[in-house]
Amino acid sequence: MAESFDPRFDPRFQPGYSPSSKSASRADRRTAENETVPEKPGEQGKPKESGVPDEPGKPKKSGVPVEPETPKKSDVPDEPETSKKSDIPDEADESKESDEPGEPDSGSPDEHDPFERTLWVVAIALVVGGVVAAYWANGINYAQSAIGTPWTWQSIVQSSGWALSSPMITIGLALAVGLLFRRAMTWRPPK
Amino acid sequence: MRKRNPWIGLLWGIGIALVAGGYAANFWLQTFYYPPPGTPSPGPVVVFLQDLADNFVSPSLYVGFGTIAGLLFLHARSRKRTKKSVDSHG
Repeated sequence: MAESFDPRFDPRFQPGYSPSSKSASRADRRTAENETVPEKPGEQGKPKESGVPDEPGKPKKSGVPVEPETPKKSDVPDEPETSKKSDIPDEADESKESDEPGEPDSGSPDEHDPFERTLWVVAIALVVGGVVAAYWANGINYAQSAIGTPWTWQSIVQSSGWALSSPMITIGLALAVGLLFRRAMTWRPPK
Repeated sequence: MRKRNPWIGLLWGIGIALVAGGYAANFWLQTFYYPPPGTPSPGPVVVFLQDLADNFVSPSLYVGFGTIAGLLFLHARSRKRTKKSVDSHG
């Protein structure tokens, strides 16, 4: 049976389409575009806005000329996406949206990210600073009598050290764990 | 065989180690409370470790439980995605 596609829609999204019949379907589509929607005079020669393939079931808006010889992305036959997706573990699926071209496929993509490196430094500084502040504040605790002595800069810094050390350590640890979470969510299995 | 995410395993280890370590440090600190009269000072190293444990007990318990909760959220999300993809393809 000869392939007859509805000329209003993209043949790739109609039943009976196969990549082998690409040339025929392309010709069909070109013919359909020329026949169904006449071009507006002002839009002649205008380049196509993007290479995004047309949505299924949606009629074409205008008869914008399509350059037939240029290999467009939309002309490439669709690969079965199900097999691709099932090969990737669940955790790695989450990174699909954030993938950028040029990123390495294996390992963690942010190994050389200066922002992440800065966050690691901040996390370590917070933990170490919290421990040092608390240790120093405990050390000078008995250096002076707590009764009847006025507030000095040392006692102010000491109480600040006590107040800040616990949140500093907590946030530092949470930051480090959060960075590990980020690594875990952007991890992809090596090919 | 399906490859496991090594970072998830590492995070599970860290979460459990933080909770267990924080609890153990708190337990160890309690052995120094109310010493009998005449007990000598434990020495500067132990005093430093006491300070360290005293500072780490609460943060490590918070972050450890937070890590485990975050991992459970992550597993729930990936399970939901897997189920959704199976439903849409099957």
